[in-house]
Amino acid sequence: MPAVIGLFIGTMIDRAFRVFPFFTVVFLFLGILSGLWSLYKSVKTLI
Amino acid sequence: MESVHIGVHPLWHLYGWTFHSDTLISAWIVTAVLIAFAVFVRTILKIRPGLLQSIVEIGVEGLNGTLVERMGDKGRKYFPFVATLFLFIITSNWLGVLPLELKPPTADLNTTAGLAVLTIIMVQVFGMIDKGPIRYFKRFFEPNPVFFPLNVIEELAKPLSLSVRLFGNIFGKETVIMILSGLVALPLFYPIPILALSLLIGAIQAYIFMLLTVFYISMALEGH
Repeated sequence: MPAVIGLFIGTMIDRAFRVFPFFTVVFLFLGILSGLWSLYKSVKTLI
Repeated sequence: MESVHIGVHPLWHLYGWTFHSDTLISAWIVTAVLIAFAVFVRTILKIRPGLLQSIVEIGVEGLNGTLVERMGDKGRKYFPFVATLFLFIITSNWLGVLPLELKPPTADLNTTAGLAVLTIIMVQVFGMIDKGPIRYFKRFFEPNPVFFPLNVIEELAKPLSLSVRLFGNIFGKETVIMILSGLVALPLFYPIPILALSLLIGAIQAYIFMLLTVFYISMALEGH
């Protein structure tokens, strides 16, 4: 889900500034990182 | 064979806005039913509770217990919001079981997205009221300012997953019922097991939505 949000934000910015694929890649990467970060946090509360 | 329309809503156009009329009408019906029920229960309250009052009290105590278990005594403040969400969603989900031409409002992504966005905005508001805006926004910069975009994207993903989960379950259930009653030879009997299952799905989805709301509120209140 965070990855989808990141992709969405990235494509929105790219469409506004017509610089595809720069922001798409950056925000997709941030989204994936964010998903991993929340996974890490939830695992940390479990153990 | 009667054609099956899935995900098609009759539209109203008003002042340049477009409304899904079936969703809107069934949401109004749910609201009216809930208000009427609340007013009715209010009139029959007694010191020695009757059957209906006992059932309502068990429900209220259960929801209150969930909040207190998660957040301690300060969880009681959030009871009205959380309980309203739960009651609205469970009534909406069960509306689809009645043999009326009513679709549950939660089978429309607009309703569930509205509820989810409202929930996440209210979570931020609750957090800011409880901790003060500056101390609250510090939570986005933990453990390190580098994590700010990650935390913001994580926060934005919450309404998406809340709304799509509820919508997917209820819409899927509605679609299965519609196809079963349209295709098989005995449309009266085949959907019955699915209808029984849909009561369960409706209750579980409303409970999950409420539980996640409680979870998000408690995360906003405590420091990481």
